[in-house]
Amino acid sequence: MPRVAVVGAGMTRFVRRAEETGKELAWKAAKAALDSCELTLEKVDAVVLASAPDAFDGVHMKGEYLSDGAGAWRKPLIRSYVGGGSGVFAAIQGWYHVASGLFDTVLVVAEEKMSSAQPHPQGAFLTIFDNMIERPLGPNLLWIFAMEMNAYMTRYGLEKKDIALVAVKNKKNAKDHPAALLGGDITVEDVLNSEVLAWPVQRLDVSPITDGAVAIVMAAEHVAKRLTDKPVWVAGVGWHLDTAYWTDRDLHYPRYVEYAARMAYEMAGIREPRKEIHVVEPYDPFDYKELHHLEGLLLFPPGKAPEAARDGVLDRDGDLPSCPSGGLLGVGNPIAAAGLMKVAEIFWQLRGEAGARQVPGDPRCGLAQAWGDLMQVATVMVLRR
Amino acid sequence: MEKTWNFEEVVKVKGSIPVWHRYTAGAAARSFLALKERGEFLGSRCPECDLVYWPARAFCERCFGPAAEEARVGPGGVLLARTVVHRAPDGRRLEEPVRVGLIALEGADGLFIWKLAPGAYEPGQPVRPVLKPPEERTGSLEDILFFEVEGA
Amino acid sequence: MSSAERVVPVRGLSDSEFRSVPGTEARVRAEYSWDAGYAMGTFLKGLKEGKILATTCRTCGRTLFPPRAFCEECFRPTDGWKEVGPTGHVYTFSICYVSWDMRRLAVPEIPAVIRLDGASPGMGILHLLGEVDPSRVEVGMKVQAVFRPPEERRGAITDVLHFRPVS
Repeated sequence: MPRVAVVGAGMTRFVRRAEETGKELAWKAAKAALDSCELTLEKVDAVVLASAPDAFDGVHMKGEYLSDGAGAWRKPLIRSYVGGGSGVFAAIQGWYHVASGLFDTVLVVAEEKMSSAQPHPQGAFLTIFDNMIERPLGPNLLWIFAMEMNAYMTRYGLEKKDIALVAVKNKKNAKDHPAALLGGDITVEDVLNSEVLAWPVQRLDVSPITDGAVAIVMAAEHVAKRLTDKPVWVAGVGWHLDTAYWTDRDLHYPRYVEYAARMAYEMAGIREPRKEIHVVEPYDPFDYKELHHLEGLLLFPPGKAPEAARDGVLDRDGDLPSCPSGGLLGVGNPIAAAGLMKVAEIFWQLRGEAGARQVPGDPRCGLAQAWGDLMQVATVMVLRR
Repeated sequence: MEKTWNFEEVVKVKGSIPVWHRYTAGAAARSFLALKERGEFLGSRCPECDLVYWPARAFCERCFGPAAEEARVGPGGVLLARTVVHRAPDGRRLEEPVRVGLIALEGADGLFIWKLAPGAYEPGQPVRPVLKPPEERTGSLEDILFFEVEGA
Repeated sequence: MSSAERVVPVRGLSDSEFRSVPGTEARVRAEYSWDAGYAMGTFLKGLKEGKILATTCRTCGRTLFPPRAFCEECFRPTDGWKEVGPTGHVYTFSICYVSWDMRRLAVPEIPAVIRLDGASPGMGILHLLGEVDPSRVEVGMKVQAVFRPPEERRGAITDVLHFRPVS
């Protein structure tokens, strides 16, 4: 298969309420990504754009609306959408746009402006629930995550303090990210004492509502080598969807993440992921999700990721740094943009350009993963230097 | 599985998506503020492509550079096309038809649509805006009451 | 190029600034009437009669719940109906203190995934727990459906008021 590289990346700061419009956010990130590899828009053959539900920005056909900010003026454009999994899925679509031979250079842009939705963006999420048998019960999106977290904790005998360490780690890592909304020093006690929203989910277990945009540039091998002496190659991609009946799933283990990971590992020729992957950015809208996903990615046995968090394995200077960016919990969670931020972070880490966030040990292989739809889709990308 | 179906018994559930939205104007804010404060049509120019946008934009979609230069346009323009709307979006018949024109503001690239004063119009006619009195302006397009034929 | 240079500043607003910078507000008047469809329509009518119905697939032998018109594994129509419950157990639950728009609730809600007796293993449904002290709810707890009185039932999931512990 033709080799495809990531050659540039850029992003906006993540903020709670941006004065900029959605397309202005997209433009700032896309322009920064192009500038980072000294590329002009005319050299871009096609654009992939990711953005979560139209109802967040309150703009129907948001792909068309954002297209000029994403650099798609008079270019082929595709909108990528698998809920929270969209950011990494957009990079996967960028990959197959190039790997197919159709395009040499593709700009991948992810934008989200969640602050537009009033009184709370959750209102846009309510129809995610089955209109016959769930919505009449007055559900709240937190219910499903709280119940998944409880299922995970109960199955493996985990306590909240085992999981809270992830929030502590990610907010600390985010202190070194110039885009971060919520970096800081908090303690496990702070998490355990924060407002209980939907037990076991408390305020500090959750990532914030965020506006922001991220972009990367992907290129075919012959173009990539001209643009940079440090291309980061897409080694494997995978995605997978579980049943639409979320109440029929084993919520304690994300099997669909495992299937997506296996697809990506097979393509990348990875047999022992725990040894061959040096830095990982699993999707962390909640602290338990990072652990849940690390297990689904086959990096730790089911129920064992919390031990790794406790032993410092997941710290930036640990044996398998996880969310060195600060993740969604620390940098912020503008849905689709958050997923692409993870790809950008692995790109910067593998190039040794992550500044104060740089993980030691000269990492050569990294993984970005996102998760979404009704807790059922996983999107995975393995990158290699 | 038996698929007998009595339409009298079709079960339906009603619902809505209970959100509203607040949209910030971004770079266009300066155009709306200029309208409100000075009654001016202030747009932005891309020096690279020599294009003038109104309302102002942050960036030029063609060269992807910033459209940061200020540029005054209008207030007059040329009417390119017009229509008369007799029905509201929900299909109701309007008591008073609304006249709408496609207008090329002088000095601006690109077109925009706004209300026209009652009267007869022909494409190609010069038109000019009539603004609300300064104390009633809010900093939005609604500060333009309508366009009318120049010299009318 | 340092990592800081690839991060572009944007202007984050306070809530009051957000409401005062030039902008507009609009409400989407999106009102829907969703059809229950064949399987779910039959299920909802069953609730009115005090029955909880699942569908069966004779190819894989599963009792599918929530009921559906086709088996997504075998990708063929389901074959019939089977009554399940009204007893089952709590697979997982939460104790929720906030509404969707983040207002504190006066009385917390206890949503749960309930796996009903008679449905295939692993198949559950979302509902609320009631008549129970939140601190006593446990995973694995045996529960049963509490129906509204027949005259109050309307062929809706809310014909089941909640599930309560089996005494």
